[in-house]
Amino acid sequence: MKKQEKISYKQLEVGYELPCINYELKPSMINAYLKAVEEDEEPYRSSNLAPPMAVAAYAMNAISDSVILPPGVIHTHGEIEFSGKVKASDVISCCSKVSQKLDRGNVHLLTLDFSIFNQNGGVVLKGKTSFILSENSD
Amino acid sequence: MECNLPLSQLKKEMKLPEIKKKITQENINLYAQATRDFNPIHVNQNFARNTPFQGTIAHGMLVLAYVSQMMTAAFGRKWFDSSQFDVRFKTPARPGDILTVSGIIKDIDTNKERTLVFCDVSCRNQKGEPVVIGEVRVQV
Repeated sequence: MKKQEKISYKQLEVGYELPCINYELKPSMINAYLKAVEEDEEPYRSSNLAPPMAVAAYAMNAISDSVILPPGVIHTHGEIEFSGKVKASDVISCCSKVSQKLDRGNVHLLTLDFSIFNQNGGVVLKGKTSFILSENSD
Repeated sequence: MECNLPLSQLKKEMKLPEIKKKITQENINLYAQATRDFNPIHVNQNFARNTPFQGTIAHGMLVLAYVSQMMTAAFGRKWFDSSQFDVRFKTPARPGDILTVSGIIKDIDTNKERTLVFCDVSCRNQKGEPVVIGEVRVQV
C-alpha cells in the first residue's frame, strides 16, 4: 500500500473525501490474515478467494493510513455489505468519506463511509465504521 | 460449497453452528501484523495499562472476523456473494477471554428470485457479556 499524506482528525469535516487508495491483495496478505484469525475453512483451501473480512480489515488499514488518529482509538460500530467475491491478486481501491463527526464532552465520535472496488470498477464491499477518539486527539 | 445449511431446512429460530475462540495476545499480535494495525491499545501493554481498559484489548475487526467465520461455516460462499451486517461493539475482548460466537435465524423472506435470511448474531465472553451484537442478512 502506498503511503499517503495524512490529514489530522481535527481537520476533517462531514463530507470530506479521503483520497482513494489502491493496493493489490497479495496472496501473502491473505495467508497472513487467515493465520491470524485461525481460519482454515473449505472456501479458502480450495480456491484463491479472500475472506471478506480480510478485505474489510485492509480497507480499515487504508483509511487509517490517510488520517492521523490518536493512539487508543477504538471501534464502536460497523456496517458492512459484501456484494462480490474478491480473489488473491485483485487490485482493490478503497474510497472513504466522513459521514459524521460529533464532539460530546470528552468523547469524540468519527464515522466514515467507505466503498471498495475491484480492478473492474465493481463494488465488492461497502460500509460504515465509527470510532471513539480520546480528548486530546491530534 | 453453496450453502452449508441446507436451504430446505432453514427455518425461523434455527440456531447457527456456534464457534468458540480463545483470545491470546499472540493472536492479537498476529492480527496486528497481518492487517498492519498497530494501535497501542492492542499491542502495547504499557500504553494499554494506562487507559480505561487497563490492559490490551483485541481489535474489533478480529472479533468480527470470528462472526464472519461462523457465517461462512453456516452459509458457505453465499456469505461472500451478497450479505450485510450491522454490529455494535459492546465490551472489549481481552487476552484470556473465551469467546462464543452464536446466531439464530430471525426471519426468512422468499420470493421467486431470491431468499433472504435474517439472523441475530452475538459474540459473548466467558462471563456471558456481549462483546459484539448485531444483525446480518444473507441472500441464499
